[in-house]
Amino acid sequence: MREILIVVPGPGDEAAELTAAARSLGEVRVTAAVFGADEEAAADLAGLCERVVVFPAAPGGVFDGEWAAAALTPWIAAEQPFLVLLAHGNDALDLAPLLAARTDRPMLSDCLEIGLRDGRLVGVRPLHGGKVRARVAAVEAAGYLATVRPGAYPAAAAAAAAGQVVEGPAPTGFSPRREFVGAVAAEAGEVDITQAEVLVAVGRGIEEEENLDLIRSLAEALGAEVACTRPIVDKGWLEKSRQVGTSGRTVKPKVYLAIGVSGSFQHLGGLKGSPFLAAINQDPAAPIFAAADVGIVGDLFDLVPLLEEKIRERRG
Amino acid sequence: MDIYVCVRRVPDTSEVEIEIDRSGRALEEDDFSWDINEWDAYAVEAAVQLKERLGARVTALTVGDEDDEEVLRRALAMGCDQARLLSDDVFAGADSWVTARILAAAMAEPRPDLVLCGAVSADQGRGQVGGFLAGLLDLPLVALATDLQVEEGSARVRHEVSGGVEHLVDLRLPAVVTVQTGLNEPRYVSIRGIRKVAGVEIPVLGAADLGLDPAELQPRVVTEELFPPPQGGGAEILTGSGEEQVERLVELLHEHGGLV
Amino acid sequence: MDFELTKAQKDIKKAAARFAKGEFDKELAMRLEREHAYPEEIWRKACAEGFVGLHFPEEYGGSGYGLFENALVVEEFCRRDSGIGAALLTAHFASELILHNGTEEQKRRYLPKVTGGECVSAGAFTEPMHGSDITQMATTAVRDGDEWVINGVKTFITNGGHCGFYVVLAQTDPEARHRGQSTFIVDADTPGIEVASVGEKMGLKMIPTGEVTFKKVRVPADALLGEENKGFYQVLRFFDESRIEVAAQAVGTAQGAFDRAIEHIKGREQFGLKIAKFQAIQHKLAEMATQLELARLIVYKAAWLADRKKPDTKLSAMAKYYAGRVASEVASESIQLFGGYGYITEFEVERFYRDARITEIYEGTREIQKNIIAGQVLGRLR
Ligand SMILES: Cc1cc2nc3c(=O)[nH]c(=O)nc-3n(C[C@H](O)[C@H](O)[C@H](O)COP(=O)(O)OP(=O)(O)OC[C@H]3O[C@@H](n4cnc5c(N)ncnc54)[C@H](O)[C@@H]3O)c2cc1C
Ligand SMILES: Cc1cc2nc3c(=O)[nH]c(=O)nc-3n(C[C@H](O)[C@H](O)[C@H](O)COP(=O)(O)OP(=O)(O)OC[C@H]3O[C@@H](n4cnc5c(N)ncnc54)[C@H](O)[C@@H]3O)c2cc1C
Repeated sequence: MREILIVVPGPGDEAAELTAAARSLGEVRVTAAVFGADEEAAADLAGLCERVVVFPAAPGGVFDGEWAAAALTPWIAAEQPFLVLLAHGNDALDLAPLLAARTDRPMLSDCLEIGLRDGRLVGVRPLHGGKVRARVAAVEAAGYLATVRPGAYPAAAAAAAAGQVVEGPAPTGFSPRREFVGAVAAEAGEVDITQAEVLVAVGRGIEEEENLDLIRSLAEALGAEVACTRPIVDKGWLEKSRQVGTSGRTVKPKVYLAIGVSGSFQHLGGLKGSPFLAAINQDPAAPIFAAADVGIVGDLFDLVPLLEEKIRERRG
Repeated sequence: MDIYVCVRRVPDTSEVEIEIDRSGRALEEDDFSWDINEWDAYAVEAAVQLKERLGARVTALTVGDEDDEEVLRRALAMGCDQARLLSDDVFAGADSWVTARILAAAMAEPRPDLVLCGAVSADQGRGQVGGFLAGLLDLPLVALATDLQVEEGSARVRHEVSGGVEHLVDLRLPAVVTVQTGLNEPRYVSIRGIRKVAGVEIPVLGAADLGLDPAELQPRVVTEELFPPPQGGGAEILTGSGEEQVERLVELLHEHGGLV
Repeated sequence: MDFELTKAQKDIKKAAARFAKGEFDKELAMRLEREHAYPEEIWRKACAEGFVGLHFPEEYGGSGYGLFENALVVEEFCRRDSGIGAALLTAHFASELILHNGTEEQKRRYLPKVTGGECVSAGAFTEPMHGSDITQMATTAVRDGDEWVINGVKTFITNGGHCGFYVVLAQTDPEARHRGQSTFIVDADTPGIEVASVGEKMGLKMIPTGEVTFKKVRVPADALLGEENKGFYQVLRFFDESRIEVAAQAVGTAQGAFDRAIEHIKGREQFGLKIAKFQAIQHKLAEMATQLELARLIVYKAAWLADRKKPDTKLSAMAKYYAGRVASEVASESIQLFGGYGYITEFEVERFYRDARITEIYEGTREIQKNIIAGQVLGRLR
């Protein structure tokens, strides 16, 4: 039976999805590696998989790629799991390729699907912001590593039979070259978009800062708050507290209207609670349409003023 | 201080229709315009700012062919001190692993104090090269830097971790830092910058120059096929005149409680 | 023969395109045009990045490139925005007269101001009664001790009232017609200069165009540019070069209108089809694309020759004549491809058209270019 190691922050969606991804490969034995989990968390994880290895938390008690790589490398060398799986998120960028290099394994990144062919790892991954997909295959190796896109696999249900929980060793001879100093408090910002029921999200399609007035005015007509994608924040056009996504806020509105947003998974990763998602984008191939409930393919500069007008008309 | 910054030329596919070529493994490139990978532009700017502040020597590297040289000239025009085009027939088909190996070999002399990479590339989105380099060079890694301060022998880096949170970490140099967008404001390439580098011959280094054995440069991941994302299952695309579409959208927004 | 841009030329073209993409903004352009306001901030940044006067030597703040590279920049700028592009192109207008004819002292005093974003320049040739024909000027400059006294009215002066200095063409020997003309550098704050508006213009609305009156304007002896009574010839030589830049402006403006039209016809549907699928539209497009390509080629050749110290009067005139024609036609047809939308300011092509038209008028009208071409082809007729 193939041994698969999932590296997770604790119980939750990520662990359940990775377990599902692992089990999609057939008869496997899943081990979850976790750092500094308490008993309850370990027990929850044990409901998902055959074994839980609790490694000591990194100094500072936070996730630390250096520490994790130092702890996992000897463990992987000893146990030789067939596959190491991580969720493709920010922490994975900090750890996964480093671990792949240290353990000398082929790595597939950001997979929508993983599979096996002739005993080798294959996968499907998106390119060009989701506009095209690639079927990729790892060359033959003793073991593999892959990161899986969050949401690509539906979460596995916890099984009744609890797996075993064991302690993992602290990395030996670890001299930290990287030290945690502190978490940076997120700026509060003028509005709290996480509380909004209706959000109008604007993306790079808006082209220029001055054009944001179109969106503000539409949001006002709707009684909504303005949210945005990361590039809008990077340019300094809107404050960080309005950014939705994996490196921004997680929001759970009832209605989400995305305008000139391509629909990257990092952006949609911040959208929870399955809102009614409407999109306006001029590119019929934009990935946002795959996620949306309803869409208009067209130029936002024509559609947004018209939309505002119709909304105001309706309100009388 | 020796800083290496790894850059790549990528196509801008945001506004073109993507077509898969006859091989099925690559895209029709005719309509593409190419530029430096967005993340790499931030990395170059970060390196040049460190140079201006601390007097570092900045070397830009890319693995590619002669068409990719332009991205190095751009890096030079922005203020990098030197550049190396890592190019060889045996590099063809390099995956990110092989790319990282080639880059690592190019950092053999002088050894880096700091390696800067973009966190991901816009086309491939793998986010591997920086981490691979850290592994190959046995250096500490911080991914997704949003702020970078360097002082003698150490760097304080603010970076994005999971959960929409940022951490501050101290790094002992040498180290690898991958750079997130928004870290700075990449400068324009000025005409004077272009002038300065116009006569510069960028050295081209091949496998032999880098002491690499072609047999060691086998990709670990191969792309077998490209295909368009499956259609359907997505949004109901509204039809009719613009006016009709918008009216229908207002209707739907209203039904779902979107008019507060 | 080699039709490939050099690496540096490709870099310059890309840098210009990137700068224009980053800085020019449709909404801003529309507002500046409405308010007749100069794109001050963009101009300053363009100077800082070395785009203005890149064909001036480094000692005067330029980058030592040629007209060819300047044409590439002008083309990219005008392609992105015909109005802002023209403003940046004309920011150094007539400074080349100083570059070619000035003393070291004059060059050091004036050119770095223009490249460095301290001020824009202006060239004052046209007069109310002397437009196409500048062989006789009503404006005079009379020597008075250590000074020259200038009297006269110049009209249609780009950057008039906005510039740091004027290069003025005046009659120094009224009897000798074009053999009695000289050029002077006149600081804009010299007493006796008055600027009035020429009235609302069709295009180039961001750029001030003034009627400049010189009333007993006293300038020092060393304001004379080059040799006395050689002004006309200096200006002709200048036009050989500046016409190439106007021609590049024309190519960029045409290309900008064309780009927008292409995007439109690919999206617009009528009779159940994208209008780009209609052959009548495709043929129109093919003609426009061909015209554009030819115009670009002739501009490049004229610039290439000028940079090799073989300026060709005929080719410069051809470049300006042909590219100007193409700009007007392509921009006009672009409006046509947009249908009713083309007539609406928001869709930009009408502005490109209005800005395109000037390229057939200033620095010698289309007809004057043809006169020059014919004159060069025929030689002296007996
Ligand atoms: C580690 C990491 C973390 C990240 N975190 C986040 C995050 O938290 N949040 C986030 O948003 N991004 C995040 N990103 C960035 C993300 O990958 C995308 O780059 C980003 O979301 C794209 O933003 P966008 O949709 O606004 O821009 P683009 O992808 O450029 O899309 C613009 C869209 O506008 C459309 N458009 C253009 N003009 C018009 C018009 N006139 N009318 C209609 N439509 C038009 C285009 O067709 C296109 O689809 C992260 C990236 C990384 C690597
Ligand atoms: C926006 C703008 C900016 C300008 N900027 C400047 C500037 O900065 N400095 C400057 O000095 N001038 C400038 N000009 C002036 C411009 O160069 C002149 O308008 C142009 O040279 C034509 O002169 P004119 O207007 O007197 O027309 P005219 O010479 O009166 O010509 C009228 C018509 O007669 C035709 N024509 C004249 N002579 C002949 C002939 N021999 N054979 C056939 N046809 C002929 C012309 O082609 C034209 O069609 C500017 C003009 C404008 C509109």
